[in-house]
Amino acid sequence: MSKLKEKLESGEFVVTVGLYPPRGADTGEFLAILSKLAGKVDAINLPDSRGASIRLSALSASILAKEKGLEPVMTVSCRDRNRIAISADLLGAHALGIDTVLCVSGDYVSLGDVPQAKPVYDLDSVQLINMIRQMEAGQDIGGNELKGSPKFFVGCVANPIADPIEPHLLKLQKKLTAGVDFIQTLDLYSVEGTAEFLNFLEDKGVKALAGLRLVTMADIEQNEKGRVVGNEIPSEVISEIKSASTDVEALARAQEFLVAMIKDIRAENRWSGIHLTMNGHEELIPQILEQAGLGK
Amino acid sequence: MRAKERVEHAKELLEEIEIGADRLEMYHIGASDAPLWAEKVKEMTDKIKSLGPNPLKLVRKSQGAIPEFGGR
Amino acid sequence: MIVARRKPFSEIMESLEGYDRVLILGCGTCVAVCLAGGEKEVGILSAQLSIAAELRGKALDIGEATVERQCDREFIEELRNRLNDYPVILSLACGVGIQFVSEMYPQKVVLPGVDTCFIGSNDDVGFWTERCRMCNQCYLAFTGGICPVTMCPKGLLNGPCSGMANGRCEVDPERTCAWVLIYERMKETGRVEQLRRVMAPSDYSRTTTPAVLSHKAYRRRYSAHE
Repeated sequence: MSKLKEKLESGEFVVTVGLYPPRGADTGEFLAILSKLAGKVDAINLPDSRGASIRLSALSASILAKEKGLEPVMTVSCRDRNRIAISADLLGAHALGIDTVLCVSGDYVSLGDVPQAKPVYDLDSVQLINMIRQMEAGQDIGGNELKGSPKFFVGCVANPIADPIEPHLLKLQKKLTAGVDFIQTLDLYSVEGTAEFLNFLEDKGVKALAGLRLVTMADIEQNEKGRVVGNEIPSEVISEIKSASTDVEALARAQEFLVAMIKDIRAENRWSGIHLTMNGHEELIPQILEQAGLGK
Repeated sequence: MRAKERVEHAKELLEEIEIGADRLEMYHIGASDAPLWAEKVKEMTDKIKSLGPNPLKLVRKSQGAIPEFGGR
Repeated sequence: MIVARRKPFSEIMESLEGYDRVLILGCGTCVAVCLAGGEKEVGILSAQLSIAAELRGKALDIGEATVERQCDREFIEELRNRLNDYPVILSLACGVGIQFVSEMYPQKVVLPGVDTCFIGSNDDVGFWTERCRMCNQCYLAFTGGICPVTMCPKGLLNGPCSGMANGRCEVDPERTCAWVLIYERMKETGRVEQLRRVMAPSDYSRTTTPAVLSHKAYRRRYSAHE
Protein backbone atom coordinates (compact mmCIF):
# COMPACT_ATOMS: atom_id res chain seq x y z
CA MET A 1 0.00 0.00 0.00
CA SER A 2 1.31 3.43 -0.91
CA LYS A 3 2.60 5.23 2.20
CA LEU A 4 1.56 8.52 0.66
CA LYS A 5 -1.96 7.14 0.26
CA GLU A 6 -1.98 6.03 3.90
CA LYS A 7 -0.93 9.44 5.15
CA LEU A 8 -3.34 11.35 2.94
CA GLU A 9 -6.22 9.13 3.92
CA SER A 10 -5.43 9.57 7.58
CA GLY A 11 -5.90 13.29 7.11
CA GLU A 12 -2.28 14.13 7.75
CA PHE A 13 -0.96 17.31 6.07
CA VAL A 14 1.73 15.83 3.83
CA VAL A 15 4.95 17.33 2.56
CA THR A 16 6.44 16.04 -0.68
CA VAL A 17 9.54 17.30 -2.47
CA GLY A 18 10.41 17.30 -6.13
CA LEU A 19 13.98 16.26 -6.84
CA TYR A 20 15.65 16.32 -10.24
CA PRO A 21 17.61 13.15 -10.94
CA PRO A 22 21.22 13.73 -12.02
CA ARG A 23 22.11 14.80 -15.55
CA GLY A 24 24.67 12.05 -15.95
CA ALA A 25 25.88 8.79 -14.55
CA ASP A 26 27.24 10.33 -11.33
CA THR A 27 24.69 9.69 -8.61
CA GLY A 28 26.85 10.78 -5.65
CA GLU A 29 25.25 14.15 -5.02
CA PHE A 30 21.76 12.84 -5.67
CA LEU A 31 22.19 9.99 -3.19
CA ALA A 32 23.57 12.39 -0.59
CA ILE A 33 20.47 14.61 -0.85
CA LEU A 34 18.24 11.57 -0.62
CA SER A 35 20.00 10.47 2.54
CA LYS A 36 19.52 13.91 4.09
CA LEU A 37 15.80 13.90 3.26
CA ALA A 38 15.04 10.46 4.68
CA GLY A 39 12.53 10.84 7.49
CA LYS A 40 12.05 14.55 6.89
CA VAL A 41 9.45 14.43 4.12
CA ASP A 42 6.53 12.20 3.27
CA ALA A 43 7.47 11.49 -0.35
CA ILE A 44 9.91 12.40 -3.11
CA ASN A 45 8.64 13.14 -6.59
CA LEU A 46 10.99 12.09 -9.37
CA PRO A 47 10.27 13.87 -12.68
CA ASP A 48 10.39 11.99 -15.99
CA SER A 49 12.98 13.86 -18.09
CA ARG A 50 11.34 17.07 -16.93
CA GLY A 51 11.65 19.96 -19.35
CA ALA A 52 12.65 17.46 -22.03
CA SER A 53 16.23 17.35 -20.78
CA ILE A 54 18.17 14.14 -20.38
CA ARG A 55 18.49 12.90 -16.81
CA LEU A 56 18.54 9.61 -15.00
CA SER A 57 15.13 8.02 -15.60
CA ALA A 58 12.25 8.45 -13.17
CA LEU A 59 12.06 4.70 -12.66
CA SER A 60 15.70 4.27 -11.65
CA ALA A 61 15.69 7.45 -9.59
CA SER A 62 12.62 6.12 -7.79
CA ILE A 63 14.44 2.87 -6.98
CA LEU A 64 17.42 4.81 -5.63
CA ALA A 65 15.04 6.89 -3.49
CA LYS A 66 13.40 3.76 -2.18
CA GLU A 67 16.77 2.26 -1.31
CA LYS A 68 17.49 5.34 0.78
CA GLY A 69 14.31 4.82 2.74
CA LEU A 70 12.21 7.42 0.95
CA GLU A 71 8.75 7.04 -0.55
CA PRO A 72 8.98 7.74 -4.29
CA VAL A 73 6.29 9.29 -6.47
CA MET A 74 7.33 8.25 -9.97
CA THR A 75 6.34 10.66 -12.72
CA VAL A 76 5.14 9.02 -15.92
CA SER A 77 5.30 11.32 -18.92
CA CYS A 78 3.63 10.64 -22.25
CA ARG A 79 6.21 12.53 -24.26
CA ASP A 80 8.93 9.94 -24.78
CA ARG A 81 7.25 6.54 -24.67
CA ASN A 82 4.34 4.84 -26.38
CA ARG A 83 1.64 2.84 -24.56
CA ILE A 84 3.63 -0.37 -24.86
CA ALA A 85 6.75 1.06 -23.25
CA ILE A 86 4.80 2.87 -20.55
CA SER A 87 2.91 -0.31 -19.66
CA ALA A 88 6.18 -2.21 -19.46
CA ASP A 89 7.65 0.44 -17.16
CA LEU A 90 4.56 0.38 -14.95
CA LEU A 91 4.70 -3.40 -14.57
CA GLY A 92 8.40 -3.09 -13.79
CA ALA A 93 7.81 -0.30 -11.29
CA HIS A 94 5.22 -2.39 -9.52
CA ALA A 95 7.54 -5.37 -9.41
CA LEU A 96 10.22 -3.15 -7.86
CA GLY A 97 7.90 -1.90 -5.16
CA ILE A 98 6.95 1.50 -6.54
CA ASP A 99 3.29 2.09 -5.89
CA THR A 100 2.70 5.79 -6.43
CA VAL A 101 2.79 7.47 -9.83
CA LEU A 102 2.14 10.97 -11.17
CA CYS A 103 0.67 11.03 -14.69
CA VAL A 104 1.53 13.93 -16.97
CA SER A 105 1.33 14.63 -20.69
CA GLY A 106 4.90 15.89 -20.58
CA ASP A 107 6.78 19.08 -21.43
CA TYR A 108 7.26 19.44 -25.17
CA VAL A 109 10.59 18.50 -26.72
CA SER A 110 11.38 22.02 -27.90
CA LEU A 111 11.52 23.25 -24.29
CA GLY A 112 14.58 21.16 -23.51
CA ASP A 113 18.13 20.85 -24.68
CA VAL A 114 17.55 18.02 -27.16
CA PRO A 115 15.01 19.71 -29.42
CA GLN A 116 15.68 17.35 -32.35
CA ALA A 117 14.17 14.35 -30.57
CA LYS A 118 10.94 12.80 -31.82
CA PRO A 119 7.96 13.57 -29.59
CA VAL A 120 5.79 10.51 -28.93
CA TYR A 121 2.56 11.48 -27.12
CA ASP A 122 0.94 8.17 -27.98
CA LEU A 123 -1.27 8.79 -24.93
CA ASP A 124 -2.32 11.89 -23.06
CA SER A 125 -2.59 12.08 -19.26
CA VAL A 126 -6.30 11.18 -19.22
CA GLN A 127 -5.77 8.11 -21.40
CA LEU A 128 -2.78 7.15 -19.25
CA ILE A 129 -4.80 7.21 -16.04
CA ASN A 130 -7.50 5.14 -17.72
CA MET A 131 -4.87 2.69 -18.93
CA ILE A 132 -3.52 2.25 -15.38
CA ARG A 133 -7.00 1.51 -14.06
CA GLN A 134 -7.50 -0.96 -16.90
CA MET A 135 -4.24 -2.70 -15.98
CA GLU A 136 -5.35 -2.85 -12.35
CA ALA A 137 -8.49 -4.62 -13.53
CA GLY A 138 -6.33 -7.27 -15.19
CA GLN A 139 -6.19 -6.13 -18.79
CA ASP A 140 -3.55 -4.37 -20.82
CA ILE A 141 -4.48 -1.52 -23.15
CA GLY A 142 -4.71 -3.93 -26.07
CA GLY A 143 -7.46 -5.79 -24.24
CA ASN A 144 -5.20 -8.76 -23.48
CA GLU A 145 -5.35 -10.50 -20.11
CA LEU A 146 -2.54 -9.61 -17.71
CA LYS A 147 -0.88 -12.30 -15.64
CA GLY A 148 -1.08 -10.39 -12.39
CA SER A 149 -2.32 -6.82 -12.02
CA PRO A 150 -0.36 -3.89 -10.66
CA LYS A 151 -1.86 -1.47 -8.17
CA PHE A 152 -1.05 2.23 -8.01
CA PHE A 153 -1.92 5.37 -6.08
CA VAL A 154 -2.36 7.71 -9.02
CA GLY A 155 -1.74 11.44 -9.15
CA CYS A 156 -2.08 14.11 -11.81
CA VAL A 157 -1.14 17.74 -12.26
CA ALA A 158 -3.48 20.73 -12.31
CA ASN A 159 -3.16 24.48 -12.39
CA PRO A 160 -5.54 26.18 -9.91
CA ILE A 161 -5.00 29.53 -11.60
CA ALA A 162 -5.20 28.39 -15.22
CA ASP A 163 -6.55 31.11 -17.43
CA PRO A 164 -9.01 30.35 -18.94
CA ILE A 165 -10.02 27.88 -16.24
CA GLU A 166 -13.09 26.30 -17.86
CA PRO A 167 -11.31 24.08 -20.42
CA HIS A 168 -8.78 23.18 -17.73
CA LEU A 169 -11.51 22.06 -15.33
CA LEU A 170 -13.25 20.11 -18.10
CA LYS A 171 -10.03 18.17 -18.56
CA LEU A 172 -9.49 17.79 -14.80
CA GLN A 173 -12.97 16.30 -14.52
CA LYS A 174 -11.96 13.64 -17.05
CA LYS A 175 -9.03 12.74 -14.81
CA LEU A 176 -11.32 12.57 -11.77
CA THR A 177 -13.74 10.37 -13.68
CA ALA A 178 -10.82 8.12 -14.61
CA GLY A 179 -10.27 7.70 -10.88
CA VAL A 180 -7.24 9.81 -10.08
CA ASP A 181 -6.36 9.76 -6.36
CA PHE A 182 -4.43 12.97 -5.82
CA ILE A 183 -3.53 16.22 -7.51
CA GLN A 184 -0.19 18.00 -7.44
CA THR A 185 -0.57 21.59 -8.59
CA LEU A 186 1.77 23.84 -10.53
CA ASP A 187 3.68 26.29 -8.35
CA LEU A 188 1.50 28.82 -6.60
CA TYR A 189 2.72 32.21 -5.40
CA SER A 190 -0.47 33.29 -3.70
CA VAL A 191 -3.65 31.71 -2.35
CA GLU A 192 -5.64 34.30 -4.26
CA GLY A 193 -7.53 33.14 -7.29
CA THR A 194 -7.61 29.48 -6.24
CA ALA A 195 -11.19 29.52 -4.92
CA GLU A 196 -12.87 28.36 -8.13
CA PHE A 197 -10.48 25.44 -8.34
CA LEU A 198 -10.96 24.47 -4.71
CA ASN A 199 -14.74 24.82 -4.99
CA PHE A 200 -14.62 22.53 -8.01
CA LEU A 201 -12.75 19.91 -5.96
CA GLU A 202 -15.17 20.11 -3.04
CA ASP A 203 -16.87 16.74 -2.45
CA LYS A 204 -14.88 15.14 -5.25
CA GLY A 205 -12.91 13.05 -2.77
CA VAL A 206 -9.53 13.71 -4.30
CA LYS A 207 -6.56 15.03 -2.31
CA ALA A 208 -4.80 18.16 -3.52
CA LEU A 209 -1.20 19.16 -2.81
CA ALA A 210 -0.28 22.79 -3.38
CA GLY A 211 2.89 23.20 -5.40
CA LEU A 212 5.28 25.72 -3.82
CA ARG A 213 8.74 26.83 -4.83
CA LEU A 214 11.89 28.26 -3.28
CA VAL A 215 12.49 30.99 -5.84
CA THR A 216 16.12 31.36 -6.92
CA MET A 217 17.84 33.92 -9.15
CA ALA A 218 18.00 31.20 -11.82
CA ASP A 219 14.20 30.97 -11.71
CA ILE A 220 13.92 34.72 -12.03
CA GLU A 221 16.25 34.75 -15.01
CA GLN A 222 14.18 32.10 -16.77
CA ASN A 223 11.01 33.97 -15.92
CA GLU A 224 12.40 37.18 -17.40
CA LYS A 225 13.41 35.38 -20.57
CA GLY A 226 9.83 34.21 -20.84
CA ARG A 227 10.98 30.61 -20.43
CA VAL A 228 8.76 29.61 -17.56
CA VAL A 229 7.69 26.01 -17.10
CA GLY A 230 4.69 26.51 -14.86
CA ASN A 231 3.13 29.64 -13.44
CA GLU A 232 4.84 33.00 -13.78
CA ILE A 233 6.50 34.40 -10.70
CA PRO A 234 4.67 37.61 -9.70
CA SER A 235 6.67 40.80 -10.18
CA GLU A 236 6.43 41.71 -6.46
CA VAL A 237 8.14 38.48 -5.52
CA ILE A 238 10.81 39.00 -8.17
CA SER A 239 11.62 42.54 -7.08
CA GLU A 240 11.66 41.53 -3.41
CA ILE A 241 14.27 38.87 -4.08
CA LYS A 242 16.25 40.79 -6.72
CA SER A 243 16.58 43.86 -4.48
CA ALA A 244 18.54 41.83 -1.95
CA SER A 245 22.14 42.99 -1.69
CA THR A 246 23.75 39.57 -1.42
CA ASP A 247 23.02 36.04 -2.61
CA VAL A 248 22.61 34.96 1.00
CA GLU A 249 19.99 37.65 1.56
CA ALA A 250 18.19 36.75 -1.65
CA LEU A 251 17.96 33.17 -0.49
CA ALA A 252 16.75 34.27 2.93
CA ARG A 253 13.98 36.33 1.35
CA ALA A 254 12.96 33.43 -0.88
CA GLN A 255 12.85 31.24 2.19
CA GLU A 256 10.72 33.78 4.06
CA PHE A 257 8.32 33.94 1.16
CA LEU A 258 8.06 30.17 0.98
CA VAL A 259 7.41 29.84 4.71
CA ALA A 260 4.67 32.47 4.45
CA MET A 261 3.08 30.59 1.54
CA ILE A 262 3.11 27.34 3.49
CA LYS A 263 1.37 29.03 6.37
CA ASP A 264 -1.23 30.57 4.05
CA ILE A 265 -1.94 27.22 2.42
CA ARG A 266 -2.34 25.52 5.78
CA ALA A 267 -4.56 28.31 7.08
CA GLU A 268 -6.99 27.80 4.21
CA ASN A 269 -7.67 24.32 5.52
CA ARG A 270 -8.68 23.15 2.05
CA TRP A 271 -5.44 21.51 1.01
CA SER A 272 -4.16 18.05 1.89
CA GLY A 273 -0.50 18.99 1.74
CA ILE A 274 2.25 20.71 -0.17
CA HIS A 275 4.71 19.77 -2.88
CA LEU A 276 7.99 21.66 -2.63
CA THR A 277 10.52 22.47 -5.32
CA MET A 278 13.75 23.49 -3.63
CA ASN A 279 16.10 24.18 -6.56
CA GLY A 280 19.11 22.51 -4.99
CA HIS A 281 18.49 23.86 -1.47
CA GLU A 282 16.93 20.75 -0.07
CA GLU A 283 19.05 21.10 3.10
CA LEU A 284 16.79 24.02 4.10
CA ILE A 285 13.71 21.83 4.29
CA PRO A 286 13.81 20.91 7.98
CA GLN A 287 14.30 24.57 8.92
CA ILE A 288 11.53 25.75 6.60
CA LEU A 289 9.07 23.17 7.88
CA GLU A 290 9.97 24.15 11.45
CA GLN A 291 9.38 27.82 10.68
CA ALA A 292 6.06 27.01 9.05
CA GLY A 293 4.91 25.03 12.06
CA LEU A 294 5.25 21.66 10.35
CA GLY A 295 8.33 20.47 12.20
CA LYS A 296 8.68 16.72 12.59
CA MET B 1 2.66 47.78 -54.90
CA ARG B 2 4.96 44.86 -54.21
CA ALA B 3 8.06 46.17 -55.96
CA LYS B 4 9.96 46.45 -52.70
CA GLU B 5 9.31 42.81 -51.77
CA ARG B 6 10.28 41.63 -55.23
CA VAL B 7 13.53 43.55 -55.10
CA GLU B 8 14.27 42.15 -51.62
CA HIS B 9 13.62 38.65 -52.92
CA ALA B 10 15.83 39.24 -55.96
CA LYS B 11 18.59 40.46 -53.65
CA GLU B 12 18.33 37.20 -51.69
CA LEU B 13 18.50 35.17 -54.89
CA LEU B 14 21.65 37.05 -55.90
CA GLU B 15 23.16 36.51 -52.46
CA GLU B 16 22.48 32.75 -52.70
CA ILE B 17 24.52 32.42 -55.85
CA GLU B 18 27.34 34.60 -54.48
CA ILE B 19 26.84 37.52 -56.86
CA GLY B 20 25.87 39.57 -53.82
CA ALA B 21 22.73 41.30 -52.62
CA ASP B 22 24.52 44.64 -52.52
CA ARG B 23 24.70 44.82 -56.30
CA LEU B 24 20.97 45.46 -56.51
CA GLU B 25 19.22 48.35 -54.85
CA MET B 26 15.94 50.15 -55.12
CA TYR B 27 15.52 53.78 -54.21
CA HIS B 28 12.36 55.89 -54.08
CA ILE B 29 13.05 59.13 -55.89
CA GLY B 30 10.50 61.69 -56.97
CA ALA B 31 10.56 62.45 -60.70
CA SER B 32 11.59 66.05 -60.11
CA ASP B 33 14.08 65.38 -57.32
CA ALA B 34 17.29 65.73 -59.32
CA PRO B 35 19.58 66.31 -56.30
CA LEU B 36 18.46 63.10 -54.58
CA TRP B 37 18.85 61.19 -57.82
CA ALA B 38 22.39 62.44 -58.26
CA GLU B 39 23.17 61.55 -54.66
CA LYS B 40 21.90 57.98 -55.04
CA VAL B 41 23.68 57.49 -58.35
CA LYS B 42 26.94 58.52 -56.71
CA GLU B 43 26.19 56.31 -53.68
CA MET B 44 25.55 53.26 -55.86
CA THR B 45 28.53 53.95 -58.10
CA ASP B 46 30.85 54.23 -55.11
CA LYS B 47 29.42 51.07 -53.62
CA ILE B 48 29.83 49.10 -56.82
CA LYS B 49 33.36 50.36 -57.29
CA SER B 50 34.24 49.18 -53.80
CA LEU B 51 32.61 45.81 -54.43
CA GLY B 52 34.65 45.38 -57.57
CA PRO B 53 33.64 43.84 -60.87
CA ASN B 54 30.75 41.41 -61.19
CA PRO B 55 32.26 38.01 -60.28
CA LEU B 56 30.78 36.53 -63.43
CA LYS B 57 32.60 39.08 -65.55
CA LEU B 58 35.87 38.17 -63.87
CA VAL B 59 35.32 34.51 -64.66
CA ARG B 60 34.52 35.26 -68.28
CA LYS B 61 37.47 37.60 -68.62
CA SER B 62 39.88 35.01 -67.28
CA GLN B 63 38.52 32.62 -69.88
CA GLY B 64 39.09 35.22 -72.57
CA ALA B 65 35.39 35.73 -73.26
CA ILE B 66 35.30 39.53 -72.86
CA PRO B 67 37.76 41.95 -74.53
CA GLU B 68 39.60 44.32 -72.18
CA PHE B 69 37.97 47.67 -71.51
CA GLY B 70 40.73 50.10 -71.01
CA GLY B 71 40.59 53.22 -68.94
CA ARG B 72 37.13 53.10 -67.38
CA MET C 1 -2.81 21.53 -50.54
CA ILE C 2 0.73 20.32 -50.15
CA VAL C 3 3.07 23.07 -49.07
CA ALA C 4 6.73 22.87 -49.95
CA ARG C 5 9.72 25.16 -49.85
CA ARG C 6 12.61 25.34 -52.25
CA LYS C 7 15.71 23.71 -50.80
CA PRO C 8 18.64 25.94 -49.85
CA PHE C 9 20.55 26.80 -53.00
CA SER C 10 23.82 25.38 -51.69
CA GLU C 11 22.15 22.00 -51.13
CA ILE C 12 20.82 21.91 -54.67
CA MET C 13 24.19 22.92 -56.06
CA GLU C 14 25.91 20.20 -54.07
CA SER C 15 23.48 17.53 -55.26
CA LEU C 16 24.37 18.40 -58.87
CA GLU C 17 28.06 17.70 -58.25
CA GLY C 18 29.40 15.52 -61.03
CA TYR C 19 26.53 16.14 -63.44
CA ASP C 20 26.67 18.43 -66.50
CA ARG C 21 23.12 18.18 -67.84
CA VAL C 22 19.97 18.69 -65.82
CA LEU C 23 16.32 19.23 -66.55
CA ILE C 24 14.55 21.35 -63.96
CA LEU C 25 11.03 19.98 -63.79
CA GLY C 26 8.30 22.11 -62.25
CA CYS C 27 4.77 21.24 -61.23
CA GLY C 28 1.74 23.41 -61.88
CA THR C 29 -0.37 22.45 -58.93
CA CYS C 30 0.44 22.65 -55.17
CA VAL C 31 4.05 23.83 -55.43
CA ALA C 32 3.06 26.48 -57.95
CA VAL C 33 0.49 27.86 -55.50
CA CYS C 34 3.03 27.95 -52.71
CA LEU C 35 5.56 29.68 -54.98
CA ALA C 36 8.16 26.95 -54.63
CA GLY C 37 8.14 24.91 -57.82
CA GLY C 38 5.92 26.30 -60.53
CA GLU C 39 6.98 27.45 -63.97
CA LYS C 40 8.18 30.81 -62.66
CA GLU C 41 10.28 29.21 -59.95
CA VAL C 42 11.77 26.84 -62.52
CA GLY C 43 12.88 29.87 -64.52
CA ILE C 44 14.40 31.59 -61.50
CA LEU C 45 16.27 28.48 -60.38
CA SER C 46 17.50 27.90 -63.92
CA ALA C 47 18.96 31.43 -64.07
CA GLN C 48 20.53 31.02 -60.64
CA LEU C 49 22.09 27.65 -61.48
CA SER C 50 23.38 28.99 -64.76
CA ILE C 51 25.18 31.90 -63.09
CA ALA C 52 26.42 29.85 -60.13
CA ALA C 53 27.78 27.12 -62.41
CA GLU C 54 29.59 29.65 -64.53
CA LEU C 55 31.10 31.30 -61.43
CA ARG C 56 32.54 27.96 -60.45
CA GLY C 57 33.82 27.20 -63.90
CA LYS C 58 31.41 24.29 -64.06
CA ALA C 59 29.78 23.32 -67.34
CA LEU C 60 26.07 22.83 -66.74
CA ASP C 61 23.50 22.43 -69.48
CA ILE C 62 20.11 23.34 -67.99
CA GLY C 63 16.73 22.50 -69.43
CA GLU C 64 13.35 23.70 -68.14
CA ALA C 65 9.94 22.07 -68.21
CA THR C 66 6.78 22.30 -66.18
CA VAL C 67 3.91 19.83 -66.19
CA GLU C 68 0.42 20.18 -64.79
CA ARG C 69 1.04 17.63 -62.00
CA GLN C 70 3.84 15.22 -61.25
CA CYS C 71 1.59 12.81 -59.36
CA ASP C 72 -0.35 11.71 -62.41
CA ARG C 73 1.15 9.45 -65.11
CA GLU C 74 -0.54 11.16 -68.04
CA PHE C 75 1.30 14.44 -67.44
CA ILE C 76 4.72 12.91 -66.83
CA GLU C 77 4.34 10.60 -69.84
CA GLU C 78 4.29 13.69 -72.08
CA LEU C 79 7.95 14.28 -71.16
CA ARG C 80 9.30 10.99 -72.44
CA ASN C 81 10.97 12.30 -75.59
CA ARG C 82 12.29 15.44 -73.98
CA LEU C 83 13.88 13.42 -71.21
CA ASN C 84 16.05 11.48 -73.65
CA ASP C 85 18.46 14.42 -73.54
CA TYR C 86 18.75 14.60 -69.77
CA PRO C 87 20.20 11.98 -67.46
CA VAL C 88 19.37 14.11 -64.44
CA ILE C 89 16.03 15.59 -63.43
CA LEU C 90 15.81 18.18 -60.67
CA SER C 91 12.17 18.01 -59.66
CA LEU C 92 10.52 20.91 -57.88
CA ALA C 93 7.39 18.89 -57.15
CA CYS C 94 6.49 17.67 -53.68
CA GLY C 95 7.91 14.38 -52.41
CA VAL C 96 5.12 12.53 -54.18
CA GLY C 97 5.91 13.95 -57.60
CA ILE C 98 9.64 13.44 -57.21
CA GLN C 99 9.11 9.76 -56.42
CA PHE C 100 6.55 9.22 -59.13
CA VAL C 101 8.87 10.67 -61.78
CA SER C 102 11.67 8.46 -60.51
CA GLU C 103 9.40 5.43 -60.67
CA MET C 104 8.44 6.21 -64.25
CA TYR C 105 12.03 6.87 -65.31
CA PRO C 106 14.11 4.60 -63.08
CA GLN C 107 17.24 4.99 -65.23
CA LYS C 108 17.29 8.72 -64.56
CA VAL C 109 18.86 10.40 -61.57
CA VAL C 110 15.94 12.27 -59.99
CA LEU C 111 16.85 14.87 -57.38
CA PRO C 112 14.59 16.91 -55.06
CA GLY C 113 14.67 20.67 -55.38
CA VAL C 114 12.20 21.30 -52.58
CA ASP C 115 11.54 20.14 -49.04
CA THR C 116 7.92 19.08 -48.64
CA CYS C 117 6.68 20.72 -45.46
CA PHE C 118 3.04 20.01 -44.67
CA ILE C 119 -0.51 19.92 -45.93
CA GLY C 120 -2.29 23.12 -45.22
CA SER C 121 -4.32 26.05 -46.40
CA ASN C 122 -3.47 28.92 -48.67
CA ASP C 123 -4.46 31.52 -46.07
CA ASP C 124 -3.26 34.35 -48.22
CA VAL C 125 -0.83 34.98 -51.06
CA GLY C 126 2.55 33.85 -49.79
CA PHE C 127 1.24 32.56 -46.46
CA TRP C 128 0.36 28.95 -45.66
CA THR C 129 -0.54 27.20 -42.44
CA GLU C 130 -0.53 23.52 -41.57
CA ARG C 131 -3.99 22.11 -40.90
CA CYS C 132 -4.04 18.34 -41.16
CA ARG C 133 -1.82 15.44 -40.20
CA MET C 134 -3.70 12.77 -42.09
CA CYS C 135 -4.38 10.64 -39.02
CA ASN C 136 -7.03 8.71 -40.95
CA GLN C 137 -9.62 9.02 -38.12
CA CYS C 138 -10.91 12.55 -38.32
CA TYR C 139 -11.91 14.05 -34.97
CA LEU C 140 -13.17 17.36 -36.27
CA ALA C 141 -16.79 16.64 -35.35
CA PHE C 142 -15.78 16.53 -31.68
CA THR C 143 -13.54 19.57 -31.66
CA GLY C 144 -15.52 22.25 -33.39
CA GLY C 145 -13.66 21.95 -36.68
CA ILE C 146 -10.24 22.58 -35.13
CA CYS C 147 -7.81 19.69 -35.41
CA PRO C 148 -6.28 18.69 -32.05
CA VAL C 149 -3.75 16.41 -33.75
CA THR C 150 -2.33 19.25 -35.85
CA MET C 151 -3.02 22.45 -33.99
CA CYS C 152 -1.83 21.06 -30.66
CA PRO C 153 1.90 20.24 -30.91
CA LYS C 154 1.36 17.37 -28.50
CA GLY C 155 -1.62 16.14 -30.49
CA LEU C 156 -3.66 15.80 -27.30
CA LEU C 157 -7.12 14.36 -27.77
CA ASN C 158 -8.04 15.36 -24.22
CA GLY C 159 -6.61 18.81 -23.77
CA PRO C 160 -5.46 21.35 -22.71
CA CYS C 161 -2.26 20.40 -20.94
CA SER C 162 -0.96 22.24 -17.88
CA GLY C 163 1.52 24.00 -20.11
CA MET C 164 -1.28 26.30 -21.22
CA ALA C 165 -0.53 29.73 -19.74
CA ASN C 166 -2.86 32.71 -20.21
CA GLY C 167 -4.54 30.84 -23.02
CA ARG C 168 -1.21 30.45 -24.83
CA CYS C 169 0.60 27.34 -25.97
CA GLU C 170 3.62 26.14 -24.02
CA VAL C 171 5.46 25.39 -27.26
CA ASP C 172 4.77 28.72 -28.99
CA PRO C 173 3.54 31.48 -26.67
CA GLU C 174 2.61 33.52 -29.75
CA ARG C 175 -0.14 31.01 -30.42
CA THR C 176 -3.40 30.55 -28.59
CA CYS C 177 -3.68 27.05 -27.09
CA ALA C 178 -5.51 24.83 -29.58
CA TRP C 179 -7.74 23.47 -26.85
CA VAL C 180 -8.71 26.96 -25.76
CA LEU C 181 -9.68 27.62 -29.38
CA ILE C 182 -11.60 24.35 -29.46
CA TYR C 183 -13.38 25.23 -26.22
CA GLU C 184 -14.36 28.66 -27.53
CA ARG C 185 -15.58 27.28 -30.88
CA MET C 186 -17.62 24.56 -29.19
CA LYS C 187 -19.05 27.12 -26.78
CA GLU C 188 -20.02 29.36 -29.67
CA THR C 189 -21.96 26.48 -31.21
CA GLY C 190 -23.54 25.42 -27.90
CA ARG C 191 -21.57 22.18 -27.65
CA VAL C 192 -19.42 22.63 -24.53
CA GLU C 193 -21.00 19.59 -22.82
CA GLN C 194 -19.69 17.43 -25.66
CA LEU C 195 -16.17 18.26 -24.51
CA ARG C 196 -16.76 16.06 -21.47
CA ARG C 197 -16.40 13.06 -23.76
CA VAL C 198 -13.19 11.16 -23.00
CA MET C 199 -11.38 10.56 -26.27
CA ALA C 200 -9.78 7.13 -26.48
CA PRO C 201 -6.17 6.73 -27.61
CA SER C 202 -5.58 7.00 -31.33
CA ASP C 203 -5.42 3.86 -33.43
CA TYR C 204 -2.02 4.17 -35.07
CA SER C 205 -2.47 0.96 -37.03
CA ARG C 206 -4.56 3.14 -39.34
CA THR C 207 -1.49 5.11 -40.32
CA THR C 208 1.03 2.37 -40.98
CA THR C 209 3.08 3.47 -43.95
CA PRO C 210 2.99 3.27 -46.90
CA ALA C 211 -0.78 3.55 -47.16
CA VAL C 212 -2.76 2.39 -50.14
CA LEU C 213 -6.30 3.33 -51.03
CA SER C 214 -8.51 2.23 -53.85
CA HIS C 215 -12.08 3.09 -54.58
CA LYS C 216 -14.68 0.33 -54.18
CA ALA C 217 -15.90 0.80 -57.74
CA TYR C 218 -12.42 0.07 -59.08
CA ARG C 219 -11.35 -2.79 -56.80
CA ARG C 220 -11.95 -5.50 -59.37
CA ARG C 221 -9.71 -3.74 -61.85
CA TYR C 222 -6.78 -3.65 -59.43
CA SER C 223 -7.08 -7.14 -58.04
CA ALA C 224 -7.04 -8.44 -61.63
CA HIS C 225 -3.58 -6.91 -61.97
CA GLU C 226 -2.13 -8.88 -59.05
